[in-house]
Amino acid sequence: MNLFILIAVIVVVVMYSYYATVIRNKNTVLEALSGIDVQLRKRYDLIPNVLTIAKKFMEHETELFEKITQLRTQASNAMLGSKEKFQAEAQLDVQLKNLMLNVENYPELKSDATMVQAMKTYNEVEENIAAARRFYNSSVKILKNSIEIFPGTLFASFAGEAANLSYFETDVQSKQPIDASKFL
Amino acid sequence: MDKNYIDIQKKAFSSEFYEFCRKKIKIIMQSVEQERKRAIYLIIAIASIAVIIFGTVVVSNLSALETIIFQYKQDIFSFVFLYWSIIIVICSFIAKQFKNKAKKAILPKILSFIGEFKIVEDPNHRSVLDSYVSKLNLFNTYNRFSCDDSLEGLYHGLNVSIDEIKLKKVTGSGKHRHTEKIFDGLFIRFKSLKNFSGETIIRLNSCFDFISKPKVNLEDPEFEKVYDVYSDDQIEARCLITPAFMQRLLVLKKKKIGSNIVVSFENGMVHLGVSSSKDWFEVPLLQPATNIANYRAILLEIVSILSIIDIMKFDENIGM
Repeated sequence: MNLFILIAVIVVVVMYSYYATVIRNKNTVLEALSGIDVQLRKRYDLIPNVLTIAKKFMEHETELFEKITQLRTQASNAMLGSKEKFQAEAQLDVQLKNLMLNVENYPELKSDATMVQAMKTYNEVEENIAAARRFYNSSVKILKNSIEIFPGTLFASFAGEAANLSYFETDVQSKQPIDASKFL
Repeated sequence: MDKNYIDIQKKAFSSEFYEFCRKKIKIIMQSVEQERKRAIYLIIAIASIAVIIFGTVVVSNLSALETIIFQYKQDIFSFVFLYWSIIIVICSFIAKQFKNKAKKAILPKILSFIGEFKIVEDPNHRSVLDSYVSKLNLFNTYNRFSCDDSLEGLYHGLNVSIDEIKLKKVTGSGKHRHTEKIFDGLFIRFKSLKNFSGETIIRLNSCFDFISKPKVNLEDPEFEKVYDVYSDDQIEARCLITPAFMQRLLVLKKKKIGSNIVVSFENGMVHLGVSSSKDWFEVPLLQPATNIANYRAILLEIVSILSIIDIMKFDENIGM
C-alpha cells in the first residue's frame, strides 16, 4: 500500500515538474518576444530622426524615404509575434540597409556629426535586435523541445498560442547578396 | 604602442632584443647572477650541514640504531620527516627570495622593452584587489587570497591590469582542515569598449557551479559543451557573446594559455581568469642569469597574455 502511495507521489511530482517546465518555457518565449518588441520600438523611434537628417542631403531619395516610413508604420502597428509583423520587419531591415548604403554616396552626410551619432546608435540598436532575436529563437527551441518530446506532449496545450510561434527567419530578399556597385 | 602580440613575439627573437639586453640590462644581469650564485652556495651549504649533522647523529648511534628504531619507530620517523621538511623549507625560502629579488630587478626592464607596462608597487594594491575579486561572480567563494605579481599598462588603447593570484577556501580546523584550490593563475581586467549594465559570466562546464543568475542557452553546440553562461540580461548577454565571440573563445581554448579561461563582464569591465599553476615571470635559479633566453621566456609569457586580447578582439568595438 505504502509502495503504491510512494509511486503515485513520484508520478504526481514528475508530472507537475513537466507542467511547470512547459509553463516556464512558454513565459520565456513571451518574454523574448516582448524583448524583440522593446528593441524594435527603439528602432522605430530612431528611424524618423535618421530620415530627417538624411533628407537634408539626399533630396532625390524620396521614394526610399516613403517606403521606409510606410514599412515603419506597418511594422509598428502589426500585432506582436504575428506573421505580418515579421514580414514588415524583414522588409524594413532591407530598406534600412539600402539607406545606409546610399549614405555612402553622400560624403557630406556621412561626415555630419548628428548623422555619425545616429548611425552609431542605429548600429547598437541593430545589434540589440539581433541579440533579442537570438534569445527568441533559443526560447522557441526550448519550448518546442519541451512539448514535442514525450511526456511533454501531454502538456502541450498549456503552452497556448506560444506553441504555434515559429523561429525568426529573414525573408528571401534579405538573404540575397547586396550588390554594392548599384549604390556607388 | 600599436604593435600586436605577433610583432612583439618577432622582436623577442630579433637582434633588437639581444641588443636591448646587452645595453640596458647587462649590469643587472651580472648582479642577478652574483645573487644567484650566492643563493646556490647558501643552499648547498645548508644542505651539506644538514647531511653532516644527520649523518653524525646516525653514525654515533649506529650500534643502538636498530633498538632505537624498534622502540621509538613512530617518533623517529616523525623527527626525520620534520628535520628534512625544515631543511627543504629553508632552502625553498632562499630560492624564493632570490627569485623575487631577480624579478624585481629584471621585470621592469623587460616591460620597458614592450613599452607601456609597469609593475604595480602600491602597498594597498593587494587588499584592494582582494576586495574587488571577492565581489565578482567570476570565481567561487574563497577565504584565502594571495597575489604574487601585478602589472598594468596600455595595450591597443586598453588599460590592462594583470595580477598573478591564488584563491583558496579553507574549511575546518586541525585534523579536519581542508584546503580547496579555487583559482591559481592570472587575473586580467580592462574596461570594455562595449557598454553594458548587467553581469554576464562565462565559466567552464561544471556541476558544482552555483550561480544565482539565469543560465543563457546559446546556439553554438560546441561552445555549449565547454562553457556555461549566466547573465541577468539575456539580450545583453547575446549582444556580448555573439557567434563570432564564441568561435574565438573556442579557438583560444585550443591554445595553451587559453585552455582554462573564464570570462566575466561585470561593472563595465571585462575580467579574464587564466588558470595556470606555473610561476609567471620567474628567473630560474638553476640557469645562468646572464642567459638571455631566460628573459626572452619572460617576454614571451607577457606576449602570450596579450595575445588573448588580440585573439578575442577585445580591443575592437565590434559585435564582441
